[in-house]
Amino acid sequence: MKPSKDKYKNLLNNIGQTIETARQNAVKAVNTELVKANWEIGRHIIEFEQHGHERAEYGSDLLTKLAKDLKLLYGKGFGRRNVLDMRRFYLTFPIWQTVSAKLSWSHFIVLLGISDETARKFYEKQSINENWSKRELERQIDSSLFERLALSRDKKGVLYLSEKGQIASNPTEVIKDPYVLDFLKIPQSNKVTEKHLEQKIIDNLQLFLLELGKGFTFVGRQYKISLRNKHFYIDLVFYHRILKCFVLIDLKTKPVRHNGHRANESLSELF
Amino acid sequence: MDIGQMNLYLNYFKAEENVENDNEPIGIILSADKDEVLVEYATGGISNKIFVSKYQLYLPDKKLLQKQVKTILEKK
Repeated sequence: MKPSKDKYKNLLNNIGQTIETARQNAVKAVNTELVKANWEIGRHIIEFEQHGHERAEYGSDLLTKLAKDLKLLYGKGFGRRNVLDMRRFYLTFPIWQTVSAKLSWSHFIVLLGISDETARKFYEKQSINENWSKRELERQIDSSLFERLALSRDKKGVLYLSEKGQIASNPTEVIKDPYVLDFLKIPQSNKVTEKHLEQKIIDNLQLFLLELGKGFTFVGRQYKISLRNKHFYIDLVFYHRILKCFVLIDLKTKPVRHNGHRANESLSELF
Repeated sequence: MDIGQMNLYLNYFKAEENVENDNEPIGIILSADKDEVLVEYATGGISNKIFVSKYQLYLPDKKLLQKQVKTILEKK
């Protein structure tokens, strides 16, 4: 009996999934081994230094000599800069069990560049929580994400943020002030219209979502709502998967206006 | 007026778009500039979750922000 088309398709799918999973696991395993090796190299260097060899026999040139020899023996990955990073890696994360398997060596190199421990811990946690690529992590550091989130918190809140990362438990935790939209590449001197701003955001939606943070999904733009033959258009509508709520965004290129009177009027008129 | 408008959108979403298990919608007025005092007054009586946030088209001054965070952390 010939297998049916569906059954064959199923077979192909199953095999495909096995291949994909194996490949992903292989990449992960290679990454873990690489990170582990670099950590061990760092440990060897530190222990060597601590035994007083450095000053006695090699002076401060240990790393230079080491990098030169390693490069000769094992190739390009062992320049002085890299060996220095490995040494610093061990010093920063002396306990192997606390080194996340979810981050790649290139993530760690970026993290090692952050001298402030409170900030570094935050970016490390957040990279894991949000599955940031190395480039996304760099972007968040450039935009001072940690500092922006920290400034609306008290001391306890900042330490918690550093320890746990940003937890989307309520709207106040999720909303930032200010939002940094430099990636839209709108010159500051330009007078930007709301339409233009919206278009730029749509053109750069991936980066805008990154700036909004974890959990936001795009629903629509110029979302039309109709009330008694009156039409209103909401600039941007998102849904937050963790808070389980819609997030409506209204863009204002001019200062926010307030007119309680008219607002009340339109409300009582419509509801 | 901007805040009243947002309030209207939120009420509409609550009534028409939300499905079971959805929480109350939130609104962000993303503005080039804002006046804190006025915002406080304007959102004061409104039960909806309306936030007014500034956007900026340039990267913030990291050194300055770091200093401000340090001040928070140095408090007892």
